[in-house]
Amino acid sequence: MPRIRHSIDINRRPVDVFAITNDIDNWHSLFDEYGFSQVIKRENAGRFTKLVFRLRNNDGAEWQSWRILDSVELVAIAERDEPLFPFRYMHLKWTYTSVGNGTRMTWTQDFELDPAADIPEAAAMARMDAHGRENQQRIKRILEASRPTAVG
Amino acid sequence: MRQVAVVGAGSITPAGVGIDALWAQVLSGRSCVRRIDRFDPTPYLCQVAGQADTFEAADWLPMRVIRKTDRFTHLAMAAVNLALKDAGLVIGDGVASERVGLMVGNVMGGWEFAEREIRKLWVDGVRGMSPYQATAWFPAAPQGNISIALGIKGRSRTFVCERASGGYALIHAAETIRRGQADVVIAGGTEQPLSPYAWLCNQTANYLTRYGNSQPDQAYRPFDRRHAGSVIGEGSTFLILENLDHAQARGADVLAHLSGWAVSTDGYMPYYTSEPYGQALSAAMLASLHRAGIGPSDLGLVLADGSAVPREDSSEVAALTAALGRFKDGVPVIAAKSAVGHLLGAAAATDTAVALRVLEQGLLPPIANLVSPAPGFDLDFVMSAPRPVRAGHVLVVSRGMGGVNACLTLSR
Repeated sequence: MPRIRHSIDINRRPVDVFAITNDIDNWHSLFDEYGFSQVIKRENAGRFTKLVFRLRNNDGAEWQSWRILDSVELVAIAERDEPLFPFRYMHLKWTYTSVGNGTRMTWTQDFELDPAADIPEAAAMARMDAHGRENQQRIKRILEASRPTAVG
Repeated sequence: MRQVAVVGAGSITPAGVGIDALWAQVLSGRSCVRRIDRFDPTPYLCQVAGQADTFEAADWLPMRVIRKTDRFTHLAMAAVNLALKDAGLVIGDGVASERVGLMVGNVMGGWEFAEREIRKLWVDGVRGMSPYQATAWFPAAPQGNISIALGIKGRSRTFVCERASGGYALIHAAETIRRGQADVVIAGGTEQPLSPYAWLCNQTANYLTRYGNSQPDQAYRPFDRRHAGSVIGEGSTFLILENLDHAQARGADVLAHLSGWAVSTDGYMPYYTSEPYGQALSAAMLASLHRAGIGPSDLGLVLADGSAVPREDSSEVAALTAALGRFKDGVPVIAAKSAVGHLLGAAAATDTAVALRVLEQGLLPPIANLVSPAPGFDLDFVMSAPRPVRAGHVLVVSRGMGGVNACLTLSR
């Protein structure tokens, strides 16, 4: 049950971090690993929003996933859908908790590699671990740089 | 407090007729899953199944019953007769028919019958159809036909709770006895998914493996590095549960006590997945042990659900790891379904029948097709060969789509 978990503290309000990091149409500016991101279906049901979206990474691999946003608890869960390969499953949970005046954003990835995948598990974990850290650092820089200035 | 005794078991599975055939297949560590020949499986992603080919309805039931019922009812009626015989019980003799209940688990209904009749409706019109279509198809058909055939007049129900249906039936049976609402409850499940539409439904439910068609007997691989989904099959298993005092008064052999049970729900999105961290399932495991008055250190083994759907295997391992805690290395884990196929509504009762044999014989069967556990699956799985065990208590886990969890504890 391979699991990767990263946390980072961001000096913005949880609702803002939640909204910005789940704005998938803008992921190409937030993440440097996605050349393309597009929400193709959006369903709203009270506090919950379900998104179906497509992503393409810089290696040209493209896949479809779904993501459910809980705007009350500030939790996002997601799963990769099609194609699942090179995974047997890939599940993500993002949480946003209040820390001081800012937000602790935690990403948990649970997954299993398909035995037919051409990359060893240790190498895949190392790559995903590095990407997760880099992405969180980048997001922190972007969000804190664009922090609204208090008025009055 | 009334105690619930298990006094009999009967089973028709792809391994053959009777619990002996089931136990021999499971103990062999090999799978009897085969390529489907009941219909043309070529258009489907999964083309393998467990087929109860040795079962001929005409050997068990009169033709007038066979004609107006589906095979899932035939299987159930035969399994109930075997179970009653095993329990040495005659309804209306050893127990009043008003004090006998019947609880049935089923997932699909009787589609072999229904598909044939619906074709007649569209080709020949209303008058071409069997008048028994509705009563043959619906999931409560086995309950109705068994009740009529045996004169059962007590509390009876059918449970449709996806692959945990049989677990819910057993639990409701135990609660019925515990509350004094019956002295005897016949409880189990039945399933016959081997018809084109039923098969398609299972395919779209997304839990069948699509990687085992070239080697059917190796297709179903619970907890294995190459797990890729379930292989399902047809069959029926029923147990005879009885108020312990009632059983002792009539001198019945008590196979085990159904000492604990619990359910929980971890419905998750999308509907076909379960919550990935296993927290709700873990809570049901512990609640079942608690009801039995024991803790994880008292367990002799776990008979896991073992669907072989990667995300389900993973969450089950997470749940077991949490529930067993520091005792996890001392509690062997087995799974029986890969030997005969996942029997859906009949699965929990079939697993329970296997657990009864483990308690009786002191042997842990190896999990068929578990060669190398998936990464992080750090439990004491029984692999390759049977292992002796001195078990006083066993936990049986049953799960279904939409997050239905049912756990049972059996004690000697």
